[in-house]
Amino acid sequence: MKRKFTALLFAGLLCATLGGGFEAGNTVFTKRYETDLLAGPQPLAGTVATLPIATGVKIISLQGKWANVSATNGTGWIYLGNLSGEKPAEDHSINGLQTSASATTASVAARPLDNVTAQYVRQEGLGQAADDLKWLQGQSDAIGKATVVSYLKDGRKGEYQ
Amino acid sequence: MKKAAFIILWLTAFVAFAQISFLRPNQASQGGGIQPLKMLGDLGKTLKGASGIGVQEELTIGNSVAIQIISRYGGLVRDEEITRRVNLIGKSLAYYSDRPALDFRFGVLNSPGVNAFSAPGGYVFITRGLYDMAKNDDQLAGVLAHEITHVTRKHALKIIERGEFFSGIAGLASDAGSAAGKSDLTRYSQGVDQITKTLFEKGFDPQTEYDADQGAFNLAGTVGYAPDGLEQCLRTLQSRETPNAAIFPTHPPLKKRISKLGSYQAAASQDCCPRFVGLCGILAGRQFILA
Repeated sequence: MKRKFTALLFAGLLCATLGGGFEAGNTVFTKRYETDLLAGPQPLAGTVATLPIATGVKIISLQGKWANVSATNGTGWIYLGNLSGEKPAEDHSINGLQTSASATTASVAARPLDNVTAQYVRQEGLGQAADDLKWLQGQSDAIGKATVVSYLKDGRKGEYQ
Repeated sequence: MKKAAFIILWLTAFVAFAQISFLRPNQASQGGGIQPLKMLGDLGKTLKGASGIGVQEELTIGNSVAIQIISRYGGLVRDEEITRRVNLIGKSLAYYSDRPALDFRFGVLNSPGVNAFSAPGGYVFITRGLYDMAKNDDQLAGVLAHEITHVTRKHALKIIERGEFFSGIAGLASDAGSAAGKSDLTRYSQGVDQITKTLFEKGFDPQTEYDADQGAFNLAGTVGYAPDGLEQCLRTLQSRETPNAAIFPTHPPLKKRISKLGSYQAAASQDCCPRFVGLCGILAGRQFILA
């Protein structure tokens, strides 16, 4: 009995003290450049507000993989995959290019091998592997954000489950 | 009663420490902009090590490491259909990862062995052997999510930061647009070698692998793939393992990884503290020794 009590106490302490997780009452953060606060727990619900990256929101309740949250400019719903328990430290621009919601991944990703890597490739005699990498970049970067979102919708994945 | 008070005090201290440790992964990315190379003297480079490697440096280092991985494992499988499938699954996961702004790229290596690698900056590779072994998208997603977690939690970069070649590799990579001097490039090469040696020979420490497994479980489940896809894949691997030929020799024992992944599943079904499903899983499995 005593052991059970201690174990329960430990579990409670652990969950409560670590905090920051997807539980009612906790504050979590948006992790995209722009995140829509929706009127309901489905992707096609109306947009209440658009929140910038690293905005703190308080979880009111959870419904499946959606959180009903309270933000400074209203309450609404956000898919859990668009939230992080920790405030994102990531710069929302990569390589100096801003990743806005409307930008495609391909336009952001199209970048040649940097000078240092190019020199490294020459020194190490890795030309064939570098060609393979460029081929991969071409194949991968052709799959932009719109294609990924379409794939998610078709496969009922992510917020389209 | 005194004993109970002591336990509570100890647990509180432990939890406070755990909180600090849990936050540590993101600290490496703070202040992660482009760093001016020429401002970095040896002292500056050493100090920079304390604040982490910036995004620009990560991308440069990632390119070089990715090329080494491709070279070491038989080149890329240049099959558009296979590459598209792996990228669609991988990018779907990466879209909901903790670094959604990073451009992840997924490739298949022309090697019959069963293995997977990631490089800083968002490169993920699986061997042809692993691609063929995965029975469905769920299993592929589990493996890719494991590698994505290595990238989002900057596991490889932390090894560089600890390494003796850090000042050379980070300093040079921060000025990727400039031509490097010969001695700089030599130091940079030594740094890249250090990373690939870890990836190919030594492997990450067991705790880092368990961390990636847990991240994979959570990410795959959130996106809508079977959370136990990685576990299924590891079970298939386990069935092929022989005493003289361990699979994934640079990883912790398969049995232990499968056991831990199973505990996450058990905890998730109890809906206990979802974010810390791993810890709760351990609790559910009563693996803590309590007084």
